[in-house]
Amino acid sequence: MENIRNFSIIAHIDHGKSTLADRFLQLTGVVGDHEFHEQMLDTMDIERERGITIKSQTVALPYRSGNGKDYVLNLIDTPGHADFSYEVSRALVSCEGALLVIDACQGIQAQTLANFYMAFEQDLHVIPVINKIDLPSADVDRVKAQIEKDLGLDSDSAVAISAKEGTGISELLEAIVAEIPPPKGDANAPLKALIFDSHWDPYRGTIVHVRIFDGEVKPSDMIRLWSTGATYKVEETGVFRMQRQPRKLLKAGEVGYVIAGIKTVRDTRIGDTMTLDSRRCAKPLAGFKHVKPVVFSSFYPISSEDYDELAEALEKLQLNDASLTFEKDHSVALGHGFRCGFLGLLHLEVVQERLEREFGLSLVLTAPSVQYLLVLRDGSEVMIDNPAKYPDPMTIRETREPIIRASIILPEQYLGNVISLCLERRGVQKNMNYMDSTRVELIFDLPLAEVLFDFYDRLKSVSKGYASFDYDFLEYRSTQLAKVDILVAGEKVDALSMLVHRDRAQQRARRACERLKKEIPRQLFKVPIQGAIGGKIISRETISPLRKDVTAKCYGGDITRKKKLLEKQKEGKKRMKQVGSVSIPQSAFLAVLKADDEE
Amino acid sequence: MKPAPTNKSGIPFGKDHKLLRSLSLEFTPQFPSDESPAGVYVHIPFCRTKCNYCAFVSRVHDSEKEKIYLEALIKEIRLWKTLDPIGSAHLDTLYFGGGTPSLIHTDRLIAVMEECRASLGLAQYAEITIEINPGSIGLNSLRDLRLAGVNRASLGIQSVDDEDLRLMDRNHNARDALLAVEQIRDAGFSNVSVDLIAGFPWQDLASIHRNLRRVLQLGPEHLSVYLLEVKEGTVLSEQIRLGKLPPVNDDLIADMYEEICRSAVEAGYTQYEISNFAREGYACRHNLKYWTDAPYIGLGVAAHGMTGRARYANVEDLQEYVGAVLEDGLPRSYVQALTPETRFREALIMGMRLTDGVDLAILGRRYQVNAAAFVMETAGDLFDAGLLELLDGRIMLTSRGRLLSNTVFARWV
Repeated sequence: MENIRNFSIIAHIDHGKSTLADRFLQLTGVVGDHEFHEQMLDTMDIERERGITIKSQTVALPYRSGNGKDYVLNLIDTPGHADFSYEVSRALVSCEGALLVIDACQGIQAQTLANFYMAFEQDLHVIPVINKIDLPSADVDRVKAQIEKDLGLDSDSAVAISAKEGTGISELLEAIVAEIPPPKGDANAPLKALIFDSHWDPYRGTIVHVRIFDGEVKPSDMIRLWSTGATYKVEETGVFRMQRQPRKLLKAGEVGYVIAGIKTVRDTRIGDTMTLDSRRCAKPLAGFKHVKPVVFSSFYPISSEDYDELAEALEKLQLNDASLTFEKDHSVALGHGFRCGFLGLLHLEVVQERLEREFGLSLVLTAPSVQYLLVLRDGSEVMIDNPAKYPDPMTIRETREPIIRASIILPEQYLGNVISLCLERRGVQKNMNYMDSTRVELIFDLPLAEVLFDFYDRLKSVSKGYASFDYDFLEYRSTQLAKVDILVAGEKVDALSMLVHRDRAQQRARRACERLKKEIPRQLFKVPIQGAIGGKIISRETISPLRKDVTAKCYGGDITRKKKLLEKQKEGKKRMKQVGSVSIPQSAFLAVLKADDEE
Repeated sequence: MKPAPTNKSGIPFGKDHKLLRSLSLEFTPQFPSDESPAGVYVHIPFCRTKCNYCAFVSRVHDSEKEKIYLEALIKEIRLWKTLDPIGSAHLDTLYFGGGTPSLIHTDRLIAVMEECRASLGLAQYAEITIEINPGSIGLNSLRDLRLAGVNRASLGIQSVDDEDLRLMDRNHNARDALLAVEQIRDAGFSNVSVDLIAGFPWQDLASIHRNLRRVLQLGPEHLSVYLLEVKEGTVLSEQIRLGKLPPVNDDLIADMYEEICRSAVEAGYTQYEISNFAREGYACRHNLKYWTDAPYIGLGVAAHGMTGRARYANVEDLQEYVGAVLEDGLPRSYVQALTPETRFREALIMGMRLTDGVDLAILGRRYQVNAAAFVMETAGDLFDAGLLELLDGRIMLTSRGRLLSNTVFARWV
C-alpha cells in the first residue's frame, strides 16, 4: 500500500485538466507518442467538443520516483458538471488526494472553489497546481497569494507547471508521491470496496470500477453488492492502463476493475459497497445514494419508422449510463416514443446529442418536467412528470413540487444580480454568510423546476462566471400547478403541453405561441395557435395563410434547377411532423423548450 | 373558405368526380410513341453590364470574345448534325436568349440562324425570337435581322420607371425603352413581347400599376411578368442583407401579381401561363415547347436541352465551352438520361404552368398511365384546398394555385 497514490484532478473549466492528464499519460509511458492525441481520457465526441468530461475514466500510472522506488499512481478522472456531482463525490471518496489546477492567468475561479470545498469535505490532501506558466500574462505570485487567502493552503506547496509544454510535470509527480498520503486499510479484513463507476463492454458485460478499502478480491470469489444483495462470481480482476490489464487480485488501497458476469450497468450502483458473500464486512461504506432521474422528457422520432431504431439506441446508451431511464410513451400528435429520465438538463442534452449524432436519429422532445406529487381528493398520492398523464384538476386536492436547497458562492459585487435571479425563480432566501471580506455564500430554497431551465447558465451570466452552485434535494412543498395545452389549428398538440406554476402559465403560453408562430411555416390555411388551461384560452397567435410560392420564370428550359428547388422543398416537408393538417418543423418543438430569457 | 370549384355544368366535384372515381393506379409509364416538333435555344452570355438582381451566366461583352464564341456556336450546330440525337423530329422555333443577344453583330446572329437552317433543318415558317435590351441595337441592325427571318422581338424593359431602372442597375432609361419599341416596329416586327419584373423591395402596388399601364400603352403582342427572386450572391441580396434595402415582402408581391393579372386581362390579353400574357394567336411558340413536353436543343454556354430521352446542360465556362467544341466534343456539363416516369412527371409539372392546365386523358395516353388516378393520389387534397380545379377533363391551377404552384409541383417531383 505504501507505493500506491490515489488522486483526482479537479479544476475550473479550461484551466487545463485534460492537458495535464494527457501529460501524465505520456510521461509515465502509458501512452506512446505515436498513439497520443489530445484529451486522451475524453473518449466521446461531445466531451472533446464541449471540453467537458461526462464519463469518468481511471488510469494506473506506473512511476519510478527520484528515490528509486516504484509507485502506482491511480488517476481518477471525474465528470465536470453539476448534473453528475454524485458521481464526482464518489470518485473523490476513492482518492486520498487531489490536484487542484489553477490557471496562472485567470487565478482562482468559481469552480476552483466549489471543487476545493468538495475535496476538502472528503478530507483529501489538496496540492495546488498553477498551470499555464508559459503564457506571457501568467502571474504566479498573484495566484499564490490567492491560494493562501482563498483556500487557506500553504502556497509553498503549490507546483508551477505548463501542462502544454511539459514544464514542471516531473516535480508534480514527485509532489504526488511525497505529499499525498498512501491509502490506509486492512488487507486481512473482509472485502470492503467502493463502486465508483461502471461501464459496459460488449464482450465482457459490466466492468465495475472499484476502490478497495479493506481485504482483497480475486477471480472465483463470490462477491455481494450491498444495496441489492445480489451475488456474482468474479471472473477477472485488474487495473486500467488505458486498456484493461488483468491482475491476480486487487487488494486494499488499490483501484481497478472487477468483471463478474453482471449483465448491465444498472445492476451495479455507484456508491454501493462490494464485499464477499462468504465473509461480509461489518457495515457498508457511508454516502450511498440511490440516484434517481429528476428531469423527464419524451423523445419521439421525427419519422415514425425510426421508432425501433430509437428503442435500440436508447438501450445501447443505457448499457453505459445507468442513470438514464426510459419507458414507452405515446402521443396523439407524435406517435410512439419514449419517456426518458435524466439527472439534469446537461444529461438530457448529452443523450439527445448522442442519439442524433451517433445513431443518426432526428428527434422531437417535449418540455422537460420535474416529478410532481399530487394528492388526490380520494386521499391517494401519485407522482407525475408527464403532462399527458395529468389528471382532471377537479380530482386534485393538493400539488407538491420538489424543492432544493442551493448553496451559491459568489464574489460580493454580484450579490444583487444573483439574489434577484433567485427571487425571480421563486426562491426563498434562507441564509447569507460572508466567507471573507469579498466572498459570500447564499443559501436559497428553490423549486427544482425553476433550476432545471437554464438557471445554471443564467447564474453564470449574471455573475460573469464567478458564482458556483451546488444543491441538495430538500423536500416536496405545496405549489400551484397548471397544465398548459397548446392548440394548433384547433387541435391539441399533446406533445407541446407543459406543467408550469400557475403564475407562470400565462407568460409561458404566450411565449410558446409566439415561438410557434415564428417557427411554423405558413400553411395553405390560416392556422390559429392557442395556449389554454382546460377549456380556457389564455393566449393566441395566428399564422396567416401562405400566398406566394411560385417560380415565375424558367430560363432557357433549365428545368433541372427548378426541380432541385422543388425536391428541396419536398425534403423539407418530410422532416416536419404532420399534426392534423399542419406541418410542424422540429425547430418549432425545440423553440418551445427554450427558456424564457433567451431570445 | 372559397366555395368548392364546380365544372361547367355547375356540378360540384371533388374526389367523387367520375373521371377520378375508382381508378386503380397502375404506374408504369412509357415514353411517348412520337415527339412533337422541337425548338432550338441559343444562349448568348454577354451583357454590357450586370444587373443587380442577376444570377445567370452572363459576362461583360467584348468583341474578341464575341467572335470566338459565335464561331464555336456554329461548330456546335455542325456537331449536332453529325450526332443527330433528336432523330427525325423537325425544328420549328429558334430563340436567341441571354445575356443580351442584341449586342451581337447582326451578321454573326444571321450566320447562326442560317447554320440552324442548313444543319438542323429549321423550318421555313419557324418562329425566330431575339431578346433585345433597350439601347443595345440600332434600327438598321433590326431591319437586317427582320429581313433575315427573325420574326419575334422580346424586349427586356423590366420597368418604365427611371427610378426603378436606376435601382436595378439597368443600363437604360424609360426613354430608351420607348424608343426601342418604336424602332422595332419600324424595322417591321409585328410580334413584340416585353418583359417586366415586379417585386423589388422599393416598389409598391401603385408603382406596379402605373408601370404596367405605361407598358401596355406600348401595345406589345405579348407580355412576360416575372416576380423577383432574390438569389444569393447577387448585389441585391447583399444590399438586403446589409439592411440597405428592406427584405422582400411576399404578401405584397402576391398582391402585385394579382394586380398585374387583372390589369393585363382587362387590357385584352389572355394569361396563358403563370407569367405570360398574349393577344390572341401570339403565345410564344418556343416557350410552349418547355410547357408542352416537346424536345428542345440548347446551344451555347450554359444552355439546357431535352432530347426526349435525356436532359443535358452545357458547361458554364466560356473557355471550356470553346475548347470542347473546337476539339469536336459536345460541351456538356452533364447528360442525364430520362426515364418515362420522370418525363411524365415533368410533363405534368411543366404543363400545369399553363392556364389551361393539362388534359389528363391525353397526358395519360401519351405516357400509358392513369394520369387522373396519379394526380388524385398525389394531390387530391389540393382540390379542396382551392389550389387545383378540374374542368372538362383538364386539371389546372386556380388563380390562388398559380401563386402557390411550387407547393403543388413539389408533390410531383
